[in-house]
Formats: sequence, structure tokens, C-alpha cells
Amino acid sequence: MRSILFYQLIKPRIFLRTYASSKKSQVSAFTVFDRKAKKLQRNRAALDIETSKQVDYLKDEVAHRLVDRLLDIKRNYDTIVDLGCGCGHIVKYMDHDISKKLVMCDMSEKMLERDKNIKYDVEVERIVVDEESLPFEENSLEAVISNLSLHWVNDLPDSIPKICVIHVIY
Amino acid sequence: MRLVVHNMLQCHVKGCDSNNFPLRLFDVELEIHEIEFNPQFLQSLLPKLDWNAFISTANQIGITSLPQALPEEIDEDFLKNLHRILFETHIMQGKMVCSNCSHEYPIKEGIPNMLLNEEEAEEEAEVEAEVETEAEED
Repeated sequence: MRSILFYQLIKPRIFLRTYASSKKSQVSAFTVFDRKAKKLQRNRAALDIETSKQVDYLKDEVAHRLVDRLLDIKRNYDTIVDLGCGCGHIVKYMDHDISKKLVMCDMSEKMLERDKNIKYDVEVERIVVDEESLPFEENSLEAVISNLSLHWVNDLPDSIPKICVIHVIY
Repeated sequence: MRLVVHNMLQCHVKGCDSNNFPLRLFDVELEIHEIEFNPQFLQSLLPKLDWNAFISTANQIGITSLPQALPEEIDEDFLKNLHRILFETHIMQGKMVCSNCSHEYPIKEGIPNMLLNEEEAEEEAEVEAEVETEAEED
């Protein structure tokens, strides 16, 4: 009897601890999303190639509009970084006149790999990158663009200035 | 991954702020994929390249045909050689290691993985295992 009661007392504590473990030390008020779960979900989504292609149209459309706005800018780029590229939506609309090269970054390697045999108009480089922690040197990039991805980033007020640091200001 | 991209990657482990660039390359497998030679693009890229980092990285993977300092007069042969090394040489497999904190970033099928989560994931698995044993003990 005693042991049963003890078990009931202890159970809620264990329950809470498993949840708390994912956001241990660096808990900030902005930690809203479980990025690990998000990564698993993205990887899983990209594994079913045919079904995932059926839902590309939304991101394709927004990517198209984004690239259209890039055309309004009167300069050419050598390298543009696409942060949170998914399976590659911006790259479909990018042409050689806008940028010579596109660096596609996503936290999901399966998404990066899905369309890797397709030839595009620009040179493509793929890197597995967490948008919350960027591996680029300061002042190393000319432009950073993102298409329907940064809304999954936990600490936007922290991340946006970091993107500005790696971006060369002309 | 090409060397031109390697030239802008640095270690981003929390607190690893000095001597974290360039990442050293180990166990690399190289492949050559030919692309069109574009001297203008290459010229415009040169000022952005960290030449010292590039040379030391090229040496690590066995490329020694480049001068220690960027020559003042740039001829076509030099550019062609550079084109070969910067744009056509792909690192398909291997790993990048930070000189400061020794964090390893693997490269698989030409795609470098810059995520830091691997350790965190391990840590979490440990915590979960701990909780489970505690539950059993109780």
C-alpha cells in the first residue's frame, strides 16, 4: 500500500522532468518551439518524396514572389544564402543574372537531399545549418534571404541581429 | 562542399569565439566536377576570400600549387588554377574540426553538417535514462 502511494506521489515529478529536460539551462522567454522535434518532422516529411512534392506549391509561390522582389534591387550578387531553404524553392526561380551562386541552408538534411540531382540555373551549395546558430564568418555574405522558415525560430529578436552581422553592409 | 564555401564557415559552438576559423579538414575524399570558367566572377570574388585560410586549407588536402600570398599581377593561368581549386574541387566526404574547441562537423555526400545538436541529443538521452532508472528504483 505504501509503495503504491509513493509511486503516485512520485509519478507527476517524473512526468514533469522529462518535459523540462529539453529546455534545461538556456531557457529563455523566447523558447517556444521544440527544434529537435521540428527537425525530426522535417526529415520525415522529406522522406516521402512524391507526397512531399505535392505540397511544394505553397512555398514555391512565395519563393517566386520573393525572387520577383529581388529583381527590384539594382545590383547583382555573387552569393546569396537561402536560410531555411527546405527542398529548394527559391532556387527554382533564381537565375544567373541575380546571383551566380546560392547557398542553401536547412536544418533538415533529408530536405536538402531530396532534390539534389536536379540541375538549376545557378550554382548550388548545400549546408545543414540550424537557423538559430549560424556558422558563417562575420561580413562573409552579400545577401541572406529566407522563405517561410524563420517563423520556426525561437528567439527572433536575437537571431535577426546575428544575421545582420554575417551580412556585408554596402 | 567547395573550398569557396569552406572559406566562410567558422565554428559556432557557444563560447568558441577565437581561433575558430578556418576549420581544419580531415579524411577528405575529393571529386572534380567541371563547370564553366568565369574569370570576372572569380576576380570579383578574390577580395572576399580569406587568402591565408584558403592556402592553409588547400595544403591540408594536398593542393600545393598556389602561392603563399595573392600575386599582384593576376594572369589567366593563375585564375584557371584557382577556378579548378575553388569551384571544381568538391569535398564529398570527411570532417571539419575546430582548432579551438575540437568540435567536429561531418561532411557526407558533399553536404557539411553544421548542427550542434548531436551532443545535446546525447545529453538528453542520458537524462531520460536517468529518470527511467529512478522510476524503477522507486
